[in-house]
Amino acid sequence: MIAALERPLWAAGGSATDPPPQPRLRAVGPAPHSEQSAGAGEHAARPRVLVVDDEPSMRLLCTINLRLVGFEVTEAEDGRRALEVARQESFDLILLDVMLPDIGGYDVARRLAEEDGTRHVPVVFLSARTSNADLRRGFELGAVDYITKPFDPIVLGEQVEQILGRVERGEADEYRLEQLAQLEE
Amino acid sequence: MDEPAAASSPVGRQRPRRDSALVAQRRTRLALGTLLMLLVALGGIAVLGSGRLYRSSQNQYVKEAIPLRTNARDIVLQMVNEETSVRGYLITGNRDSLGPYERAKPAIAADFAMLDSLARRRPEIGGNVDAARSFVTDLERYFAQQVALVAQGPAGQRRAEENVLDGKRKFDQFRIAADRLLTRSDQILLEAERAQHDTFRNILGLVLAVAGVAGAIGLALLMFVPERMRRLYAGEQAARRAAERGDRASHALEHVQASVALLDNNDRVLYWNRAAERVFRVPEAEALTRTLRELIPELDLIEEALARGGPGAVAPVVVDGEERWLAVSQTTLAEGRVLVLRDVTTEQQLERARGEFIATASHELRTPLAAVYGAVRTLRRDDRPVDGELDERLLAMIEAESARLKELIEQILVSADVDRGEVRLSRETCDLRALCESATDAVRVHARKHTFSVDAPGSVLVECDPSRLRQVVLNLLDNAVKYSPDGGSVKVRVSERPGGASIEVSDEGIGVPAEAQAHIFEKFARLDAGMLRGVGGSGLGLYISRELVERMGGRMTVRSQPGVGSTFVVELPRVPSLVA
Repeated sequence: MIAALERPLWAAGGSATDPPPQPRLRAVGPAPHSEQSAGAGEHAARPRVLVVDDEPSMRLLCTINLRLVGFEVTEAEDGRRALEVARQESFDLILLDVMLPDIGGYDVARRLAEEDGTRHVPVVFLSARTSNADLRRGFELGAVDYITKPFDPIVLGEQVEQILGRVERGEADEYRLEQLAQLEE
Repeated sequence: MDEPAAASSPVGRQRPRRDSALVAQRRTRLALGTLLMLLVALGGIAVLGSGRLYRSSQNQYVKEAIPLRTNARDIVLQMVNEETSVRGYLITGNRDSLGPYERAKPAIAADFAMLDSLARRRPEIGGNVDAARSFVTDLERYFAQQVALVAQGPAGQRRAEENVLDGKRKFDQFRIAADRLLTRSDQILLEAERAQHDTFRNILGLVLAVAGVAGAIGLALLMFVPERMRRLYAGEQAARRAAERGDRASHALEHVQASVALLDNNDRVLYWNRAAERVFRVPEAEALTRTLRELIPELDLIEEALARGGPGAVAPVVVDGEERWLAVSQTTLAEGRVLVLRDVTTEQQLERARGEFIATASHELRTPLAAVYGAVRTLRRDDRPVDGELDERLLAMIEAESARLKELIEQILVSADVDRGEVRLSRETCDLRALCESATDAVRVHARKHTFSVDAPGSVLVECDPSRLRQVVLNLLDNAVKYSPDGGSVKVRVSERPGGASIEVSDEGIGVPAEAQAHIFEKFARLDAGMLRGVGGSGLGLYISRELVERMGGRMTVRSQPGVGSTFVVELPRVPSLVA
């Protein structure tokens, strides 16, 4: 089930009914956005992101800022819902918090990787857990990136676009191993 | 002299010293024995000498010289008597005048008998005695002849008068012989005196010689024995002090909390203190026959820790299935090494908890900070559409998350104050019902999935610090919400108790497992220490709450059934007895 409520514009968590596209945002956005528009402009559908976080404020911030740069965002407030939504719908990326009240983020990532339907969806951890051990664990579970809180929501969209770019170019795994190697040092 | 040998070998000091002590003892005994023998000899010589002296004087004087002189003189005297008596008879013709003559004859015979016996003792005077006797015999014969002549009448008397000159010559000859005998007796006296002197000199010489030797020995003993005794005594004292020091050192080591093991170069245990016995559960007697590896299977871990050194020299050792952390250090000696193993399990656990706390605190601070920062950055976006409702939500977010940050920092500071015992509590009369209702109202706002109720018999008044107590109740309500993620009812019940009152906060949440109930009030304790899932929290809330309640004179307990819910109970006295 999709978390949250049908509210005008950004306020709500994502839902199947998307708000209208935001061409003006792309026009005024910084350079990476225009690249994104060049790459993704041909596709009619905008990239879909699933934001999983138990903190409503975090979900809200991610949703607003990602939608502003043209992503379609869906929210889930715990692990169980995240798995449900991920199985039902298809996403280009999952932003996953580590500490969730029911099923932990690491477990969610592992289950997603185990299932055929969700294995291909790149997972990015978004967590206030910032120790090397945490990051290593995240990358070891197959995460394509690990964003630590606090993060700048203005560049979040840009970061997500870069990640998607790496995934598209098939460089995501290389980047992941690179990060792991750096963490080993 | 084995003295230098004893000094040169520091290792085998004990044995040669004992040997030298034996030698000294033997020597002193010998010297003292000799001295004693010499003194006995001295006494013997003195007794013997004085005996000799006494005997020689007695022999010479009493038995020889004096009788000789006396008898010789008596003979002269008796002969003079005889001569006078016979001359008187010759003149008077009266036979009565012959009395002294008759009386003198047996006396002279007796004197000669005595002289003969003396001459047998000293044959050298025999000649003189015989000479004197022959003259006496001659004179006796002459006296007898004269007496016979006088008795014949006047003619005889004349013939007798003619013989007087011859008699006088004979008497003179006798006088000469008698004088010789007297001279001889004087010689014997002189001789006796000389012999006495000689004896005295000899004895004196002998006594002086023995006394000299004894004195020399005594002097030697006086010079050597006290010094030797002092040295022996000092050595013994030093040995005793060293032994006492060793005793005290091992006594001290027995009471050291750390395990101390002295090992030889083959890692065999030479000493094993009580703490080591306790930690490794091996009595010293058993440890002494074994190597360290036999006693501690994880020796490699310890050696690794030793190689690391410094504060990282901590190794885990499993004893009786329980993991103990040991801080290790060692000192290498020529004959082995001293290993000191300090059980730092508690410190290690505290350190781990502290590390977890820092990770937790960092996470807990980052979460609201991320919200505040994110909201501010979002508000700053140029491409943000004008939307009053959105702005309002972002500002409310900043407000709420800042308050959460403040609350967290407050908790960290309060816990530090609680640790230092620096929490000051006020004392006011407060109504628990009102306090609980107000706290519940504050929590209700954020917890939309939960229903709240406060049940109280009316106003329940106790003396306490209302703001601290409110903090406690808020913390319990927050926990009730946090640990019942699926919502449910949160019930607060205030009731009177004998001597006080209680506040119970119940939820229908995930509950606290029985094994965790003992620990949840500990500092940094969290239900999910790994923080892999579940809700955030500094791990300080319950710790602070319980400390505050106890400082108000009350107590805090928990009843819980996993999956059903938890009830936290705060009991407060009506009037707290002051807790420092």
